[in-house]
Amino acid sequence: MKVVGQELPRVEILEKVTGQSVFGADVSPAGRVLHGKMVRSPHPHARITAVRTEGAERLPGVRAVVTAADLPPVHYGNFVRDEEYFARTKVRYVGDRIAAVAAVDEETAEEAARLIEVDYQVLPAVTSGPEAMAPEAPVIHEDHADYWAQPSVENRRGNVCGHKQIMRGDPERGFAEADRIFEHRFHVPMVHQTYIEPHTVLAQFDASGKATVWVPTQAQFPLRAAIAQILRMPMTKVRVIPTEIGGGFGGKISPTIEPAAVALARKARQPVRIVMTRGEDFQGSNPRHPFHLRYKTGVRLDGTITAREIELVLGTGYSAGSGVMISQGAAVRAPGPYRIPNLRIDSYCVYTNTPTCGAYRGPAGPQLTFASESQIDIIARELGIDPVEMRLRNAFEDGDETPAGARLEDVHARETLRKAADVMNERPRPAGENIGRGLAVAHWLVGGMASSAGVKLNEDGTIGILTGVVDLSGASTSLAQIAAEVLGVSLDDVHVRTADTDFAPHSTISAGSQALKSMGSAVLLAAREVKRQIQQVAADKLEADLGDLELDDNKVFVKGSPERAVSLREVGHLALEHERGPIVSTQSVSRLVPHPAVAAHAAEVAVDPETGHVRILRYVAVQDVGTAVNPLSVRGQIEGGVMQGLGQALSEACTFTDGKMDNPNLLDYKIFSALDAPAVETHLIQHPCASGPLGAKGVGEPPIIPPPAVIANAVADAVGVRIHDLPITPEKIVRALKARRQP
Amino acid sequence: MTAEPIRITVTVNGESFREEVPATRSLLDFLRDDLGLTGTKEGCSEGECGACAVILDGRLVDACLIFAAEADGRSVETVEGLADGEELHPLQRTFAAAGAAQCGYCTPGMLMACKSLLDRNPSPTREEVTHGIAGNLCRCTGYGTIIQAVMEAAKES
Amino acid sequence: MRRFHYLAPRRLDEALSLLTPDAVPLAGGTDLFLRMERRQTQPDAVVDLKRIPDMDRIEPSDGGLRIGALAPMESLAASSLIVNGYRALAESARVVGSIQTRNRATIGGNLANASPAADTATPLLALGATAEAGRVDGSRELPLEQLFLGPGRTALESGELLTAVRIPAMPGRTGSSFQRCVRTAMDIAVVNCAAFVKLDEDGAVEDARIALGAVGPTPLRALSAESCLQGRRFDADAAAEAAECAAHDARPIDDVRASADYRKDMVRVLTRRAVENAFQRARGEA
Repeated sequence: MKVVGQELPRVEILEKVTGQSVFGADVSPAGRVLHGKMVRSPHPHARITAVRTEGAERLPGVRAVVTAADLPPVHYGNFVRDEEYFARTKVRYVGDRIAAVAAVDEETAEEAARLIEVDYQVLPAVTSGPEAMAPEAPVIHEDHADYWAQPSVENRRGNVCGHKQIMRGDPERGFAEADRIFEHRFHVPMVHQTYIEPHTVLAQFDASGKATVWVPTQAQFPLRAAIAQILRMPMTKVRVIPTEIGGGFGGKISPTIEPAAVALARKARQPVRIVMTRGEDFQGSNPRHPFHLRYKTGVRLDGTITAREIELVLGTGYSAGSGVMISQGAAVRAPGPYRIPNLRIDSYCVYTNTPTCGAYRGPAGPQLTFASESQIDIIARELGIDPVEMRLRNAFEDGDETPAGARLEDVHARETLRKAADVMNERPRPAGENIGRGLAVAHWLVGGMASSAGVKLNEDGTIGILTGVVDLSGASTSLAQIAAEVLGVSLDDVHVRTADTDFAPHSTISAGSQALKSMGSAVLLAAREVKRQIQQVAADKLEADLGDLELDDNKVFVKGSPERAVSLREVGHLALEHERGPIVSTQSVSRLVPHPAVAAHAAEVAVDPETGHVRILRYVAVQDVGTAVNPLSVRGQIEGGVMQGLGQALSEACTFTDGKMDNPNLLDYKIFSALDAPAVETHLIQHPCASGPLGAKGVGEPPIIPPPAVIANAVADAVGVRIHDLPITPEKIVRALKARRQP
Repeated sequence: MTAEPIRITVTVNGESFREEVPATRSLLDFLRDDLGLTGTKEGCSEGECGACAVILDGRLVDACLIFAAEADGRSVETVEGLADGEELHPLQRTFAAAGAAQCGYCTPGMLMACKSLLDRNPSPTREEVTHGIAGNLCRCTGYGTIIQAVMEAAKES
Repeated sequence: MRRFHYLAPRRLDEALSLLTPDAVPLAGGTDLFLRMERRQTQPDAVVDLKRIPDMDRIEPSDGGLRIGALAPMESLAASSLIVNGYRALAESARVVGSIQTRNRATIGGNLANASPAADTATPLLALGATAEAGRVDGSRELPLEQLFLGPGRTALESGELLTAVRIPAMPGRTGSSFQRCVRTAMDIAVVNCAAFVKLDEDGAVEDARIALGAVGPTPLRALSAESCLQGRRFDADAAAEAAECAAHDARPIDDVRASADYRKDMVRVLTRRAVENAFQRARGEA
């Protein structure tokens, strides 16, 4: 392949390095833009007895105030309709939406927000999943049973908004066959995507009743539907225009401030912009689910796993959001990339008085893998088996099934795992004490969603691609590379445009590592159809058989006689005169077969046993990526994913006291800076994948998954203490070392 | 209380601007809202992320924690002034080639941090680069490609 | 942010006359801006000190050093006077926030904010610094220990401004060291510690000062640790005993950054390391 597989700069890179890219807050429409501000609950759980807006409405410069009274009584939610946009009777987390104001400037908007008076009757709150499951726990949704829910959402009761159980084989017999049984509990706290661009929106409402919404979103079509549903507007009266997006990582899928901005713009008849403060973003968006996990594993003395019993409790926050789906998916991936004949998995999705968690990159992955891969290491050490050998012994292969019964193909778990171990072992361990190595392996299942894309030949011989998918991680470049490959042109000859909901063909969301798979498949089909049309026009011109024509170097030529050629530019012109007309095709794909994508990572760390500080000396990331359409992008995804995963391993956590987040700022929510970041030794395992476009696999999710387990295993190797509760802070290491010294 | 707007004169990327601003206006909002230079980004307004980094009288600063009035009579460099007309700054070229910008939101501030570093230290070590960008958070790249891009730009010039 | 008057005097006496009870001085602004944004401080007027000439000078004075309150951290870290003579201070200035912050944040601001975790406060306490407070009708000098009253509270009276810091001369056989403990590289100190020792001709401690940060309502001197070192020669036991005493002197609390227990443990570790390092330096070994 000539273009696919090349390390090419992103198609939009020049705008990005010159500051010309238009991100959410950079949009400027006609007309004076009002400043919007949300009014949010200071209580994690309280009954609302009164909301008074008069003071705010009377303040000079205030143009609109909206509350639940301005919105239709709509309950929404994709899986359980348990959410109201503005709280009506109860607030359920610190940050719950009460009202929004729009004013001529920021100071006035802030002042107006302060003038809105709310009377609360404070209720007891619960922020942890297991506590919320206790019989005496305060009930977060009293009308739970009355909410509409998808049929797949099972066993709803109390604060449990979904319970998925998977049984495979005979767990009881599996444990009976085991020589040893191990049982451990783990905890992973909530973490936040911490994209550098906070949530922001600009909304305009025109005389025909149409709302235009500029927003950095990963999911323009679902967002359009959600805004329309919440405001009870016809869907096509909402136009969502996706801007350049300053990082999403799953945090910019669900609606946050957009419906408020539209409601304000409608009432004020003026455009309204809302920009979340960093603190608001930490408390009012969709972070990663906290998990409590129990893993019970039966093994033979040779390391063969005979059974696993897994219990997952995921705190979803004040509404089900995507939590039910994520808890169901978690059940399927919980056993790890292993062939385990006997399984019992219970996954509970539980309401808590916290923000509703969303789909942070690789949802549930780091939590499950931290628990599962920590335990595999513990078991291997107990049995005296090499941890890599134990994993290889149990690793799944082509033809194995997921716990849900789906057959797996294109599995490269063993090769990926071996490579990570080999790369780490290439260099000897440095001399010195308190240095250790750890490894973990994980998989992600890359699905595919209904998508369409258009490809056309321009009259000058260049190619245009029209999509509705937001470029989050280099998708536009990769799509252009796929079209360029099929049509025999260079990347510079392909122009990609992400259009808005009014004009773009329906496209998938940019999430779950499936954007390239879904959209790439649609672009591939459309490019192939465009190629056929080009051949059709060229065949007439060259008086050749359509089947004898090849495309390369911006030309169509007869196989074997390259001098019989016509340029794409000429074909572009000829087509307009030709009976077939302009060359263009829009193609669609529907749900695609999921494929596994495996990541195996290894780390070498040095621990200061006095302070507990962990220094990462080496970090190896190996990933099974199918065909790397753009290795530069792929490596970039892997290195970035690793760093987020390492943050979750060592320093990141949203912590709560009395229902209020302790650290809603970048000083105390610790993401990695350049000084914390190790160099990543990245290696790609490339075998074309049957279900991906030109063999590509999804790459964005897997790299974030192994790091917490890798670090836990490396720390245990270095200083002999095992941390079961993320993040692995210096303080926890020191405490564990002290506990070991004073039994 | 009311407070009179302040008249300030600030040189931005070599061009002098005379504007009236309220005292509460940050240098960041002044650049973005008053001058329409939206290349400089707001990431946290807490001085923690560096997305708003600009060079003020030759020193790298976070524009979110500075009042526009403090810049009166001073000179500011932003990402918009990095290229020399059509000619990209070496850092802009190496950032593009190395894949040092992914989502691109931290990129303007990151570029200014790197420029400021190379202005002070034209041939930095990897470690010096790492220290030079420590105040600029990037959530996409893991920093490796950024450090590589700076090393290459240093080699070029 | 609440609206206010911005004032930019060009002379110190003018600035002092503007510092009414409803006015706040503005130096680097890296803390003040945020406090105003969050409405924790809502002044009527902000008096920007940066237009006053020479308030950022670092100069030899009375055999020691006088550092103007407006000197930014980056200048402290780069000053050969400080790097050569007062290493603990240079080491602390080097780790205050990012380069962006160090280019703005001043020594005066770092001290006058009276944060218990202020990184330059501990080395200055260990080095025996004094604070120079100016007011319309003159100025006074007070030992740095007396400046800090509690979190965000100083002994500066209404109308008084911290104008400079003075550090005494560092004769031979002295050494200082700064140590700190953080969660990630870019962080406010979880604990910081500075040690200063002056040895006599036989290598015994003639004078020792140890200061601790983020383990009490103010940066504080570990007095029992200091007296424990008095007259002793360096050995592992001396450092360990001083560390143990320092842990008793510390009065940490639990917060989002660390527990009180961990902070006490870190006081032990950092004090021992700082004392060892200061000794080595006093003997010209490091």
